[in-house]
Amino acid sequence: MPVILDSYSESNQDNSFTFQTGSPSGFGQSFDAGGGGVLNSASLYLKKNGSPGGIIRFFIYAHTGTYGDTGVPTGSILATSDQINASALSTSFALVNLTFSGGNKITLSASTKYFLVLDTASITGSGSDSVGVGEDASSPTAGGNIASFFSGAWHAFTGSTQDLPFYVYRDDAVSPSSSLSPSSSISPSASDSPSFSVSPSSSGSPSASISSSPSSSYSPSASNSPSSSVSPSSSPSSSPSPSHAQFELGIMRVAKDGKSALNNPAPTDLKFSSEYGTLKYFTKQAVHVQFTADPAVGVNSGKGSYSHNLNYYPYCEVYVSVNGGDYEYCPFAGSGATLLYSANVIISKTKIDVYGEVSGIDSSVWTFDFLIFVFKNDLHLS
Amino acid sequence: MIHPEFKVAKIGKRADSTNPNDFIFHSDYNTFKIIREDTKQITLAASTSDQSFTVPHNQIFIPLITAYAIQSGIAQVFLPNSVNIDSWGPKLGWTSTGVRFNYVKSDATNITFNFDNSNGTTIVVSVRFFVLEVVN
Repeated sequence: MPVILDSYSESNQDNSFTFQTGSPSGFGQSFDAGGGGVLNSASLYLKKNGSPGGIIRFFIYAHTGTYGDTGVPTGSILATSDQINASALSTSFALVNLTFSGGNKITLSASTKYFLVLDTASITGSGSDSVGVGEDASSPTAGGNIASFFSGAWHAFTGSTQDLPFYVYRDDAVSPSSSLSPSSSISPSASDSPSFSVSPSSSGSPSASISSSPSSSYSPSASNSPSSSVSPSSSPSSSPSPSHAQFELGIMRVAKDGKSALNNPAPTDLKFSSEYGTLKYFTKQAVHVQFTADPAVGVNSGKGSYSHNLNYYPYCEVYVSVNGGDYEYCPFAGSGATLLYSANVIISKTKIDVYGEVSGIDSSVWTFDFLIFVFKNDLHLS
Repeated sequence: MIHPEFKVAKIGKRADSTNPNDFIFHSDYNTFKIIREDTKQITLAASTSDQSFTVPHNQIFIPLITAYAIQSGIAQVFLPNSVNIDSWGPKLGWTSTGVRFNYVKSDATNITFNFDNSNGTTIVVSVRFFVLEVVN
């Protein structure tokens, strides 16, 4: 199954561009190749209006300029997709996925910007006959920007006020030189699969023992393969030190019982896959909030904080126990005969604030015991 | 019968431990895979409660979703089933900005975010959502 390198969801589409004969001869969206890989296919959100002619195909270009603002394609076409007739488009917006084949299956470099360009020069039509390209024209949040080719040059849509929904995919292929060989795939269902563990010694240096046959070999990864470090550090969030052993693997998967890690399994068949992100546990903190309710006051509340100091909004999960009761997922609200109580959490770039609140007739001491689980994952909100 | 395992122990722990909390990774236990994460920008209608917005999750199963919201111009993130807090006092409790993130849910096709906006003007919120494991 192809893997997404970069994308901007079609759910953001709220407007469109139309192309027909005489339109700009190229129109595209810049993207980030992420972890890189062999180009598989790409999608744009397209439709036909009336009866356009010509063909639909995509180009990949190198990128120059400031990504997300003045970026434009540069140089020669790096890759050309397969094509379909414009007449084959739906009359409603739909993702149109075109494959890059043969010599056009170029390797996109990791963390490198490129342009996905629609060959609008090959679209024909006039009057009401055109091809529509979906766009987001209301404060879009794609990382790249649009560029258009006309009057002999590329022109960027600066200021990132418009973005095109798109997807760029890489191959999911596992090459023999860059990954675990099929004989060493990790699948609990295989009777001859390897069993191995990595266990650090008391000095902090991990030792690795592989108890299976020599067929479970690990070769260095190719440039498009993610690295998997199995060297633990004192803090789960910090990078491993150079003194710790590191394994460079290709795509690494661990299948669930009765499932296979091979042949493009669904994520639901896997316990782990390096193709998907994980929640990177950072810390668990307990915050105790206590206050005495005053029946003369309508609302009584308390507040606590944990300073994570990560300088970004982290993924977190919070649970709260009220007056020693069961832990419940926070935010939440509960009630008694004469009162309401609730707990809330607010995340900032440096701390997590937790609140407990009681309203109604009550004069007892209230305790809100919060458990805050913080993960290193950045919410990328601003 | 061979029971293959792949385990990575925490520092100071051994890979032959029987306590799952001694491991960074253990192949006997599922990991929550972030199958997809994305940001949805939403414009809340003025003075309107129970506003729903959907995003296709593009999965063949009903996924577990977590979501976090941030209101334009306010530097804090809030979670479903809560209001965005504007101010707080021990005897007054919290005061809301007028925006409430009621819930996030998923079905076979879509993720749904539901908000209230009691302000007399439209409010823009960005929602970061994570498509995690299968629910059904």
